[in-house]
Amino acid sequence: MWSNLPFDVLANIFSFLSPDSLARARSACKNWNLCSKTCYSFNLSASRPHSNHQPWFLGLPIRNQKPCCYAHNPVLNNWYELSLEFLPVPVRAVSPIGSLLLLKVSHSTTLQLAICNPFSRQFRYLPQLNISRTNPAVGVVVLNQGVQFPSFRIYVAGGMSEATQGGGATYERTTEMYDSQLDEWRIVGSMPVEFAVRLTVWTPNESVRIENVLYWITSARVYSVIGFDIATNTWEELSVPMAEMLEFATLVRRNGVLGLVGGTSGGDACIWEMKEGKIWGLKNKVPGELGWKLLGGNKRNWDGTKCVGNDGAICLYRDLGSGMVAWRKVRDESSEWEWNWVEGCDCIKGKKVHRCSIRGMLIHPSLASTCIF
Amino acid sequence: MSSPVEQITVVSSDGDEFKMTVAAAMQSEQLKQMLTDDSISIVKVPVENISTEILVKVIEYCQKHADHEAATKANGGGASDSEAEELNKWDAEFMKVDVEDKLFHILMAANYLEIKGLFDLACQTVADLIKGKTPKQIRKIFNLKNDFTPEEQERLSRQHNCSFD
Repeated sequence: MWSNLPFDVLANIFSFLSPDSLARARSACKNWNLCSKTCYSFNLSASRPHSNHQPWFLGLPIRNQKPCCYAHNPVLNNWYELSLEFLPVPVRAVSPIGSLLLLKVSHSTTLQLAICNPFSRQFRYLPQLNISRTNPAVGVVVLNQGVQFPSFRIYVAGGMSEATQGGGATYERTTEMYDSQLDEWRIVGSMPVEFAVRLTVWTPNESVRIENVLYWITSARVYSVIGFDIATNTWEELSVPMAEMLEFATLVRRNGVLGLVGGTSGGDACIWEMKEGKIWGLKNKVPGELGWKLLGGNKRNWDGTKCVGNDGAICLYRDLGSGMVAWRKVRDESSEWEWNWVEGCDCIKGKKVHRCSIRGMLIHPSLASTCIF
Repeated sequence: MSSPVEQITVVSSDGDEFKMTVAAAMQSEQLKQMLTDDSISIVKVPVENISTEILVKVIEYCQKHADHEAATKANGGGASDSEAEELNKWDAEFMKVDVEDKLFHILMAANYLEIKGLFDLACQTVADLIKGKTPKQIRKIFNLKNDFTPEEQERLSRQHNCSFD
């Protein structure tokens, strides 16, 4: 009976399942396996309006001892180890793009980008840039949000370009854009040299896009924010609240607005939001007990704390085993957010996991193959 | 031109007849098409694949949802949160049926009659039964035969890297 369900019915059932449940369902019998491979229930699943759409936290070890990463399922509240052996070269994560990860090749002097899906284990290099450069800022604009494999654009700005004619390396002032629909790079503009300097090396973090502007925050004190208006091709620098006192600072996008998460020595971790007139207003503070738990000690020292955030969740973490403080949207339609503690990953199926330094990403897992690969 | 129809009669595969209001029948795309097509004059609609037991349930769902829609319209369009929640609760109770028999047939009936709400509800119910279970448990619940060879099983568990076990 159940094994002979028509595939369109079964595909509709599968569209309600999260990737891990689907992986187990497709192992139940041959028909179910075949259906999951042939029917595109993944498109349907993008329209299911409930907790299946909380993003997963993905922790990618910074020093890749073992080629794997760790994913946290917010619904079942458990950790998975995902093999990254399918990657042909060591990489660093740059930014999530829907269900994909934007990566940069680690041991390359000039920027080489690639994309992968760590759940379906697919990988592809992106084409070379028009102008080779080292350590530029990389920004991502997702064109149709809410879809598993959206179209996207990547902006690369600044960096050092190779010396020409025997001179020294110079700051690269051009901005290039990659369009996923055309699969090519185009030079789209240039910037004042002082921005090129700021954007080189000091902005390795994920960009945040609010309407037509891409924002980056510098990586160390004194923090400042750089904004690039895509529509007008203009650049500006913005100040950061308590810039000299913050021990960590990250930009996030929350409810469509630019947010800043940061912590001061001996103080709480706070979340600011940018209001009209480019003024920062204090929005919320990390609850004391949760902040304490994350720091795991007596000192209120936020050094080494990291954060990722998107429209549905903000996560503060330190390393793989430290646990996380998560501030998440309660339900898709509501505007309520709640604070939760998430236990760190220290053991997978009985085996102890090395407590390593990680780079976190928020991603919507998908097992679907996509023609982008 | 026939006079406007208030009720239609549906006949189960067992031969039993049931009256449905037009509003309830409109929950089914199939029945809706027949009702809105002037060239068809409806007397009795046989639904060959659906037994009496299941048809009764299906009609119950359609009537409840038709009543809810009518009440919503009367209140000026938006269902209040509590009304929507009440309907959700009703739906949840409605779907508390045995897996082996009723759930499967309700799912198939909703698919056949194209009752979107009931179809999605039934699919969600099945999905909820699958969530968090191992393949072995899934087979038990749905009475599925494990027709993979040992090599295929090995390959499947390796494919997902033992990460979703």
